[in-house]
Amino acid sequence: MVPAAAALKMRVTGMANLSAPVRARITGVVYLLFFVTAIAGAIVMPVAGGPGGPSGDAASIANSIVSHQSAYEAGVALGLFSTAFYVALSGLFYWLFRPVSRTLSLLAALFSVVGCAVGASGNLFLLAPLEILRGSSYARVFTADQLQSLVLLFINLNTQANHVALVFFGSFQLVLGYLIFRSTFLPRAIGVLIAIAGVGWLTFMVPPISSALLVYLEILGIVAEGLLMLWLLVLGVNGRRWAQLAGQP
Amino acid sequence: MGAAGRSAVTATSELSAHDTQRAYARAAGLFYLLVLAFDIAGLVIASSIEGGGSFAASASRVGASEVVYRLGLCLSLLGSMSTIPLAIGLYVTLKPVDGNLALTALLFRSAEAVIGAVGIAGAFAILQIYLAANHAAAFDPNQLHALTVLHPLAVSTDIAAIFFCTGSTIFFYVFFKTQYIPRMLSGLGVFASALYLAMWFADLVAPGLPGVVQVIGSIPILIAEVVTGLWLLIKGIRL
Repeated sequence: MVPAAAALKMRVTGMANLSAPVRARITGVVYLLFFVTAIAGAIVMPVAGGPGGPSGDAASIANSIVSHQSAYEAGVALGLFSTAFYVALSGLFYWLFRPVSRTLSLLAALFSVVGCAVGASGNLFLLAPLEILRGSSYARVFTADQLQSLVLLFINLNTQANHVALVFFGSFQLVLGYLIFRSTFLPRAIGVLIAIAGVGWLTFMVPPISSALLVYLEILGIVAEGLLMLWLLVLGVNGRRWAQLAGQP
Repeated sequence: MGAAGRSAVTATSELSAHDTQRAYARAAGLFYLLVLAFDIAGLVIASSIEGGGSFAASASRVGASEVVYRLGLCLSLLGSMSTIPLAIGLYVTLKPVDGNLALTALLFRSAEAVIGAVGIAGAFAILQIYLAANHAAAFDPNQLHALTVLHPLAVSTDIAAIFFCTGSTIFFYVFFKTQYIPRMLSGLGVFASALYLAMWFADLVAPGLPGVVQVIGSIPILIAEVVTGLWLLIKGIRL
């Protein structure tokens, strides 16, 4: 075997041999990176792209995008990075909770990855307003009012994609909460909190309920996921119990 | 542990593995029926409200029945979500037969769920266009109609169906390699999925297939899915 291949094999083997508490902390770090990129993206974005949707009329939204184009592009990029971190997180959670239930971990991972894919598709709609407002030749056949309405339409499409993605994330968190509750290597209270937050995201199927509860849902979601992230980052998991469940000596 | 003890442990773990397989097969049967029920109910509600006639008439009907229309879209979303537990149930059932093919089919059905969900997000946005038609807007009704028709998400149904058919063909093919369900049923599933796949590809290449072709292409897969769902749910699998 050539030295480079041998070194790669050693590195891969080394990763596979990492203990559960170390892997849990790596999961916490990736979780933190997700939070940082998602929050930074929301802060720099000149147009509110969260679950609440855009505020203001079509003209003011279009003007915000034109006058803060770089910030808008950075917001979209950060949103995509946060999605990528969440995909990685889904894989890490699958590994972490596989000893509890292989099938339920797979179910949770698929719900999460589908949510990420739908969210990433929503980000594509955020790129369309840049093309529309750039003054391309085909855009000149529309009046200014119509261009602004088209921009609003694409921003709304992104909001709808986010709502659909949240329903998938709600299902993910419901299963994840159950897995945490059953795990014995993480506190049951965090599992309950995550599951309740998951039920909260599921209300996005009924917009009047989610609109009325939006602030509470966001607070609950941030507290539940933030607590899980901090626990994984600082305390990891109970390695002995994880090994028992995994059938390791 | 003696030989008798070891064989008893092996027999117990095999029994437990078979029980798990049977339980997931029954769950898959239930979700087969749920996915169909959600998808069909969603489609019927949305299309009956949109109805035929002019865009203005459709927009007026959607505006008058907004809550029911939203309910139809939510049922479609539930159908898309239920695809994932269905695919997992089939994957766990068929993994011992051919793990690689079962995983491939699982991924195709997951991709179907993603594309279907994006299409539903688009449908919610089109709802906004219908509602805007009932108020003052920057576009006249003809332009709004063009936006709903030209919307790139309209084609998402075709694409999701192609991923569905591919995953379904593979799952039925793996069933066909076993005696889990009657071979006549799994064979019908392979044929019906492949026929449905050909129909959706044809619709992409030459849009606007005659209604009779769509009916002929859809009935076999409907029968295969309903019967397989009921079979798995009631009779389970034969191991």
